[in-house]
Parts: sequence; C-alpha cells; structure tokens
Amino acid sequence: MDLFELISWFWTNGLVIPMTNFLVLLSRLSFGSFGVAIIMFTLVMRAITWPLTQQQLRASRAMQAVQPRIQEIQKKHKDPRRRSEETMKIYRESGMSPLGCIWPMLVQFPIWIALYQSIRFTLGSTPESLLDLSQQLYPWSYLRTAAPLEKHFLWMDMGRPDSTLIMAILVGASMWVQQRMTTPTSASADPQQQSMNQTMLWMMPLMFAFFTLQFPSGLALYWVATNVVGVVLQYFYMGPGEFEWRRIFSLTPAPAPAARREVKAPQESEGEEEAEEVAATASKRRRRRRRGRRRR
Amino acid sequence: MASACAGVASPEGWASPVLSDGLVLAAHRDQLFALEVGSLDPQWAFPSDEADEDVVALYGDPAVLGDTVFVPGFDGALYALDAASGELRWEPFETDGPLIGGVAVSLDTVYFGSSDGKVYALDAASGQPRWDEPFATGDEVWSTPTLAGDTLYVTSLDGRLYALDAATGAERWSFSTDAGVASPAVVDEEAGLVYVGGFDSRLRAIDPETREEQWSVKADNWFWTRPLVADGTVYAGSLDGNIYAVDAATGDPAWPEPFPAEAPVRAALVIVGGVLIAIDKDGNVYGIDPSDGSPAFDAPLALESEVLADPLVITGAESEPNGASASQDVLVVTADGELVQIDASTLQESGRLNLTGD
Repeated sequence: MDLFELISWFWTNGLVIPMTNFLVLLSRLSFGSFGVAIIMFTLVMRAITWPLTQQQLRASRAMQAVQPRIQEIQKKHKDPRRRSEETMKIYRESGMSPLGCIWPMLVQFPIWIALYQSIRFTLGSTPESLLDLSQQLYPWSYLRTAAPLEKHFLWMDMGRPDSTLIMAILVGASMWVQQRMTTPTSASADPQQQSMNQTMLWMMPLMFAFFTLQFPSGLALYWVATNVVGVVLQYFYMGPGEFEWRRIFSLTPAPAPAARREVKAPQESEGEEEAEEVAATASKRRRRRRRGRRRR
Repeated sequence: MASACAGVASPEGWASPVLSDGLVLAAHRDQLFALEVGSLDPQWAFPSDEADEDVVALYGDPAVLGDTVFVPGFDGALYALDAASGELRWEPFETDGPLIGGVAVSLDTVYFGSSDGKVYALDAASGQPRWDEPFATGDEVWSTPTLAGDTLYVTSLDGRLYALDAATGAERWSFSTDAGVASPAVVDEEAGLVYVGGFDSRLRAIDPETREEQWSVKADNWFWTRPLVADGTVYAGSLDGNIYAVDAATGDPAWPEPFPAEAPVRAALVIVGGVLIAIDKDGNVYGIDPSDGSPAFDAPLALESEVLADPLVITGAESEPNGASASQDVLVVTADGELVQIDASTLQESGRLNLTGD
C-alpha cells in the first residue's frame, strides 16, 4: 500500500464512513428527522473541534490586540522591508505567529470536507447514492434499517437545493455576521489591506450563498448551523468585534474601536512609544468593557 | 476529496432493456434507444437529440402494450410513445416526484408509482386517470407495481407492501416490514405467496390470504433485486454480494451456501438454458447451477463496467431475424452505455454496441 492509498484508506474508513454512520445514528435518535440530525451533528462536531477553534479565536484576539501597533508601523515606515521587519518584531514580542489564526482552520478543512461527503452520502438523493450508502453503513440493523432517511425538514427537501432562496440568504447572512465579527476592516490604515478585507467580507458569504443554490439544502443547513454556533462562540469569547446590529444594513463598516482611537492617536512624528501607549490603553479599555459586561 | 466539492449527485439511470415487436428498447442515462433485434440497427431515440423533453434519467423499465411504449422519466412524467416511430402518443402525464420504478400494464391500463408517494392508474389509450384519485402511500414509491388478477401489489419506502384493488385503487390490505422496500413484489401463484425483499435485509414470503409472513431469509445487507421464482425455488441477489436460493414453500436454504459474488447484486437474476445468470455491480457475470449453487463456468465474465440494470433474455427466434438460431442470449446495459450481448451457453460476449455512439 503506497502513501496515497494509505491516505485514501484513512480518509474513507477513518473519517467519511464513521461520520456517515454517526449521522445516520443521530437521525435515528432524532425520530428520523434528518434536519435535526444535521443540527445535532454540527453541535457535536463543533464540540470536538473546540480546542482548535479556541486556538484560532485566541490567535485572532491576539492579532486584534496588536493591530494598533501594526497600524502605527504602517504609518511610520514607508519602506516595505522595514515595515515587514517591524511587524514581525511585534509578533515575536507578543509571542504569536502570523499563521496562528490560519493553521487551526486549515486542520479543520479536511474534517469539513469529510463532513460534506458524509452528508451527501447520507442524503441518498438519487438511487445510486442510496446504493452507495448501503455499502457505507456498519453491519448494525439499527443503522441499516434507518435508510432511506426522512429528507423533508421544515419547507426543504434535504437532498435538493432550496428553491425558495431562504437558505441562500441565511447562509450568506450568517457567514457575513461571523466574518464581520473577526475582520478588522477599519483597523488597518493600509487602504490596500482594507480593500482586500472588504472584498473578502462580501465575497465569501456571496460565494457560499451561490453554492447553496447548487448544493443539497442539507449542506446549507449545516452551513447555517455551523455559522450560528461560530457567531455565538465568537461573541462569548471575543465580543462582537466591529459588528454592530444597529449598522447591519450599512454598507460601510462601523468605526471600530481602533479607528475611533485614531482620532485621538498621536501624529506620525510623535513616535512609536506613544502609539504603543495608546494601544495599551485601548486594550485596557476593552478588558474593562468585557469585565463590565460579565458583571451585568 | 475533490468529489466533495460537487453539488447534488446527478442521477444516472438504470432502466433495463425490453423487447417490443422486433425492437430492443435500451436506455442509457436520459435517452431510450430503439434498436432492431438481431442487427441492433438504431431506429429511433427518445427524446431525440432535437427534442424539448428532458427526462433527466431513466430508471424504471419501459413497458410495452400493443404498439405503445410507456416510459417513466426521472423528471416525474410518464411518456406514451408510438413503438414504431418513438413519437408521443399523448401529453406526458406529470407527477410531483421522479419516477424510479417501472410500469405495469393490463389490457387497457398502465400502473406506476412515483416519488411523490402515490400510485397512479391511467387509461393506456388516452392517458386519463382511471381511479378517482391516486393511491397515497406513506413514502416514495421506487418499485414497479405487480398486477396479479384484479390485485395490484405495490411496495413503498414507507416499508409496506400494499395490495390494491386494481379497478378502483382502494386498499385491500397491507403488510409492514422493518424498513423501506424498493424492490417489486413477485407473486407466486403456485405457492400462493408474495415475495418481497427490503432494506431490512430480509426476503419475505407473505400469504395474501392470511396476510401473514410465512417465512423470511436474513442477508447481511439490503435486498434491492426483483426475486426470481423457478421450479419451487426463490432466488434473490443481495447488496451484501451474495445470491440466495430458498425453498419457495418453506424458506429453507436450497443451496448449501449462498453463492458469493465479488460485489453487491442489484440487477435481477435470470435463468437461461438451465443456467442461473447473475450480474454484480462491478459487471461480473456469473453462470450458476440453480440446483446446488455451484459455478456453471470456470470463471465469471468481466464486463469491466458497472451494471445496475436488470438483464433481458432473448431467445433464438427473437435474436435472429429468421429465427434459425436456437441460441439464448442475455442483453445487458452497462453504466457506460454499452449494450452487451452475452451467449448464455458459453458465458462469452457475442456482441457489443455503444448506445451513445461514441
């Protein structure tokens, strides 16, 4: 068995098949409701991957905390090389890696893809896929007799795309809110960076909303459920970030704490020390606000 | 991993070939091809390449009544075609779900089930409904109804076998299994039993008089094939990759061991020239001695393509234009769209035609 075969074997037998069986089991336990099974499945998967999510959120929080200092560096140094050196210095001092937010997400990607495959297997939307499902189920009559699963949930057929656009809107909106809470659109002084953040903020939700029109609504339900859980986790772990419900329909980003601070921030010439002081004060203020919220 | 990025799985279809007055009707994906028996010269295709109809895929076996061919489409419509030309006889009859099962015909009525969970009876000549309203089951109907006398037997994914009054569509009785049923019921007039295999991995014999189970056989995976009854024995392939043979009256094993195929068996079994022919999902064709389950040939014939459609047996008179040959052949449509002719006496390929013309 070569490496590719080994990976392929593990992919199928270590991830996709166990997930598929688990999904069928949950469906059976939720009285045959596949929609409820997907929501339960999402909660369980989010619980299992919580250590990775926590690491990602921690890295995001650390990244946000140093944003004011990075912003100052961007203002202060025009030379890209110097700018990069100084930025890396801040990362080193803060004990963080710029890839800290990315890798926990990368590790979760295969789990998500396997999960998508499991949902597709389980849906059995065509006779062929139901035939395939029969080969994936463990030889336990409690599982074997569960298929085909009840595909109707609320107004949707879980095996077919939602024709009402409701799921597309829910997927796009929930993803936008989640992204909005983490994307520092106003923290960066670099217009190029800001523009890129803005593009990403809209592009991903729009892209997934478009996917929803093509994919089985069971997957869309998973996306909505996982986004909602993500938003809740993020809110309790990091606060609302730059997201404000009052400005939900505003196309321009809300002035983030860092941006508001810019008004009072020292001029470029006043030096790095003062900028760091402002950043530290802002961080203190944020901590105080969080403590106040907790007390309330 | 790449497959995960694909959207909804697309239906491919597995309709079986049928015979119609000198024509072989063989389907591949979303088209039905009429070929001359013997020469296999193409006569017409439905829908034609220029037609507006899109049947999406063809799963249910077409049925022939007189000079009309009835074709159930995955688009949810039943089409009635002129057997000679492939032209539509009447406006397609539309249902609210894909048609996956085939069509049963009587003298003047066609019966079929739909994924909308209903069973329909239409006047064969006009396409008008015969019953006041279609019969509603508790889930999708994926199997071909079976007509026996004035009773129509229908299985449903709700796990029940229904016996309906064929004239009115009224339910006479029903029998509940432990999981969905997608294979058609088979009526054995001699034994007075109805056989049905299901997703509870059981092949059952039900007495229509008492409406009770007479016996059942447990496999390691679902039954999705039409059971075959011959000489007091019931044969059925299972998705566990075994072929089972049991005594029709008692359910006792007719063979020392089930015959092991190399892959799941979805295609129906046929007996040709005293040999039981079975085809597994991977396209391996087996010749089996029906009396003891031993292999009738040294090795299976490998078609090297997936096979899910039921095979069609054609006798010498049908396979040769002048009827001179006494050969008995089996026609199989593979998932690649190959129509393969197999000589059942030697288990060798005797012809192959690509339906798509590639």
